[in-house]
Amino acid sequence: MSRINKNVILALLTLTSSAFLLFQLYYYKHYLSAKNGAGLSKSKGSRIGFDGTQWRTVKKFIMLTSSQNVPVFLIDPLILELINKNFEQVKNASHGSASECKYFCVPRDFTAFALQYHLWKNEESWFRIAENMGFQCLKFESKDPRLDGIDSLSGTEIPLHYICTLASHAVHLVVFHERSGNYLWHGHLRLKGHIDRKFVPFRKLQFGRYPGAFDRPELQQVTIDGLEVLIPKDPMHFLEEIPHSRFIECRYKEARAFFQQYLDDNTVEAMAFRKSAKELMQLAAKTLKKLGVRFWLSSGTCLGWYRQCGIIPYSKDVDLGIFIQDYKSDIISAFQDAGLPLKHKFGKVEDSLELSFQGKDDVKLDIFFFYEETDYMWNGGTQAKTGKKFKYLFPKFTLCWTEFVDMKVRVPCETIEYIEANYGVLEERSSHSWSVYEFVLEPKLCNCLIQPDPA
Amino acid sequence: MAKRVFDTYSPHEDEAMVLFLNMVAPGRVLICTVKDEGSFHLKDTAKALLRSLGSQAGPALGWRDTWAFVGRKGGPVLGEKHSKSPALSSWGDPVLLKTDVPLSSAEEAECHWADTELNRRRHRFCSKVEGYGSVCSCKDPTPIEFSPDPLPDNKVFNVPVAVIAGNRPNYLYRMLRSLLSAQGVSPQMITVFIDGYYEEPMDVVALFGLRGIQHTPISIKNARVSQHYKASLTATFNLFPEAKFAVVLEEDLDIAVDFFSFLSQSIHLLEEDDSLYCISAWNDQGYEHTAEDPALLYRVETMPGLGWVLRKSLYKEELEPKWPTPEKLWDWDMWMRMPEQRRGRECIIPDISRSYHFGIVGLNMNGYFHEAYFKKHKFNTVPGVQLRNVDSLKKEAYEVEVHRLLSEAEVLDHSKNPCEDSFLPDTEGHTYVAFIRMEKDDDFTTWTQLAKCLHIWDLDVRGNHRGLWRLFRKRNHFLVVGVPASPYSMKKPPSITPIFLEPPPKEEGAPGAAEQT
Repeated sequence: MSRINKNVILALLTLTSSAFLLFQLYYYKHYLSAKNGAGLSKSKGSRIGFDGTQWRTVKKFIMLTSSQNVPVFLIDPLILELINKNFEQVKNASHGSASECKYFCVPRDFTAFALQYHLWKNEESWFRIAENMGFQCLKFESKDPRLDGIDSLSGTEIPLHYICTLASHAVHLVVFHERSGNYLWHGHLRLKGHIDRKFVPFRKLQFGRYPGAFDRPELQQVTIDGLEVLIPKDPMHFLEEIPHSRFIECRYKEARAFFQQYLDDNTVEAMAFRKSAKELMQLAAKTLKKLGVRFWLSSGTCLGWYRQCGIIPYSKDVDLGIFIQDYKSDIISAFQDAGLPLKHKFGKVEDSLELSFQGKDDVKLDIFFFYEETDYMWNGGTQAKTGKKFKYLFPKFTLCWTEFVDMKVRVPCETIEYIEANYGVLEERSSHSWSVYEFVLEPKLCNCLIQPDPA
Repeated sequence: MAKRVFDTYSPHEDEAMVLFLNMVAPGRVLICTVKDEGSFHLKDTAKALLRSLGSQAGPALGWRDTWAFVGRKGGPVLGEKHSKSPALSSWGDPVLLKTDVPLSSAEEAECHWADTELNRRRHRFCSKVEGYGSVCSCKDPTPIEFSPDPLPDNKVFNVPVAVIAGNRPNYLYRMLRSLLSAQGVSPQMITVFIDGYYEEPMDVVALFGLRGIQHTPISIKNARVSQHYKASLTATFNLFPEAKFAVVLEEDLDIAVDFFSFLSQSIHLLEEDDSLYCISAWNDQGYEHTAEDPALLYRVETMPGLGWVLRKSLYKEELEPKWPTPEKLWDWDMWMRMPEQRRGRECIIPDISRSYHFGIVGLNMNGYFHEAYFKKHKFNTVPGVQLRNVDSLKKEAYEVEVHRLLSEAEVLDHSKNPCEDSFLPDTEGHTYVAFIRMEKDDDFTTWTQLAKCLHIWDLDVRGNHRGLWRLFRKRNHFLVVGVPASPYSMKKPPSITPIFLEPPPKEEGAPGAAEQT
């Protein structure tokens, strides 16, 4: 009996002491992590420390930019996400308290920074100094789109992107330019013929696949992994903008050609309407932005943007589109409070909703709500006189930013398909005695795309 | 490298030719020829210069002779041919000159300046362009970077500056030098807009490291100029979307050293007072004999241009939407002065102008016009002038100031001839007032005659504020009030009869009254 007891006791003791040991180990590890801050669990695999190439390249880049007074700020989505998760810690961290590399050592192909061009004084010498520090840089430039208005102007090209590599890590510097409408714009990173496609993995770039527009971010200085960087004060907001930042230019060249054929209407009435319509649009944009509701230019307003980069004087009202899933019940009261009372309400939220608000000087604001089906979109139209309901079908579309009458607004990226769904096929030239464009402004109520609503 | 035409049939052109040839770097190959007639005003200095180049026929050029010359500046003649015209009514026979020009190597031709960014720019410029003198000299080249004193509390450091230029690169060069030497200038805010794809003006802009933009010309004559202004102003506000103002300059202006200081002290007026149309650096009536006080400002009912500040809201909301279309052959500045555009608003101007118009050649300019109306314009050269009592230029405050001046002013003897110097006593620093006849708001008969005899601007009415003109004569402040149209007529003593000056009966070809088209 005693032998068994001894063995059992021995086994029990071994078990408990192992358990205690394991517990100690676990707790100690936990204790250490807690002391140094959480957030490490995500980066499995490469626990590269401060001697890693990525961190060192970023450090050298930051040294380069601060010594040359180039006010860059961090926009890398991967790192900003990490920062966002640990925002409280990052904000309160003091200089030099980092004992582990948690942000800049995350495995990635690029580190993306941004720069507001108008804040950059010494562009001429920067490139050469970067190369002296060991960076190999590529510069991407193009024509300034802000000169591409109704008149034909050309100046020297503006820088759009810099890609600088050092020791097998690449820094992507996105150059932002400020534009009318209070936003920052960056250009498309286009690989011209002579560029070595293997210089960096271009496909993995987070910015530059197309031009982009962002709200001007307020910046703050933080210390991350022992390095002082500027980041957006609201990283969450910036991150949310990235997937929806695509920007398309207005078609200035085609607008110029249009005005050469069809002289612009410069009567007093036309100018008065344009002024009122612009003010109405600004008011609507402000109101919807406060509500957090996305909208885009639709119908006649969209046609004006597409055809002539301006407001069509005889279009009589301002037309906007909103996805029905973005509908908020306080839209009507918000507009009312802004001085735009509701004039008409057609349909209901569940079906064919259309709102019409009364602006100054007899200009109306029409809001069309768009409903989504599996492979098409539609919005409902009600013919006021007869009460007949119609369904306008649109191919599915995505939204892009653009600049219109000194504002940053959205339009369907697939604009021509959208307009043709609205109006029928547009001809580029008029071969008849009347202007095809004038004729086309009256939306066709009967064509193969429209089905009278069965209800 | 350079191509110039000097109409030496007309006066003073030979002087310009001498100036240019003196500015050409030694060793350059010169090719000269005559078109039509080049001898009539080819005077001794020019002839001597041609002689020094080794020409034999040039100094002896006769009426309607033909001539071709190839030589080196400072070096030998390479070829020359000349043909005398046989009679006054005919031209010399055509000449054909063929010659071989030995080339020199690049190292010999170029200067060896220190390798700096500035000198690299200098190199690019000097290897392309000629006629700019010591900017390209090997020893002691003129500096192309200026370090004017910083302006403390500079309220206009971030106001964009638009330089409206055409194809007068030597004017542009002179203008940019003065602009970049002005205290408080921000070179990165300057944009030069060139009306056409001309290379030499762009080269000048690149020399100074500034931003240059070329505009595809639209339309003709003055409509082309007005379309160029519109494109330039729109582009300026596009490139600087946060700016609330823009400074508008032209390529034929000298800019005063305190230009930005003047604007910095007065810009808040444009921001705060809606009754203001612009701030301009130019006093239309500010001639050497009629302007005295660099610290003094006026309100006037005209838009002088020639170095002025445009409010963005005025441009975007009012002017741009209805800017004259390309087929309207109107002057942009005349259009801006029309009541439909100005709408009763006024501009602030200094007594002594902060810009000097030096352009002699241009769409609306010629030598005579310049001599008569621009040459003797007073230009401020005193740096750091503190403007006096700036807030008294606001709408109501200005009326208070005018009333104060009129109350203090001594009434002159209206029996004397106002055109004579003796109209004013031989004092200094006094304030005098004279009353002239002005039946209605638009009756400027007497004023125009007075302006004419005082040798100030008389082509149209400038400088008035509610029927009041302010200037200086013999260093006294001289106020002119139009009675009874001016609201200040009530200051006129009952015993005084307003002066009436009758316009002379219309003559053919009145001298000095060149039409400003």
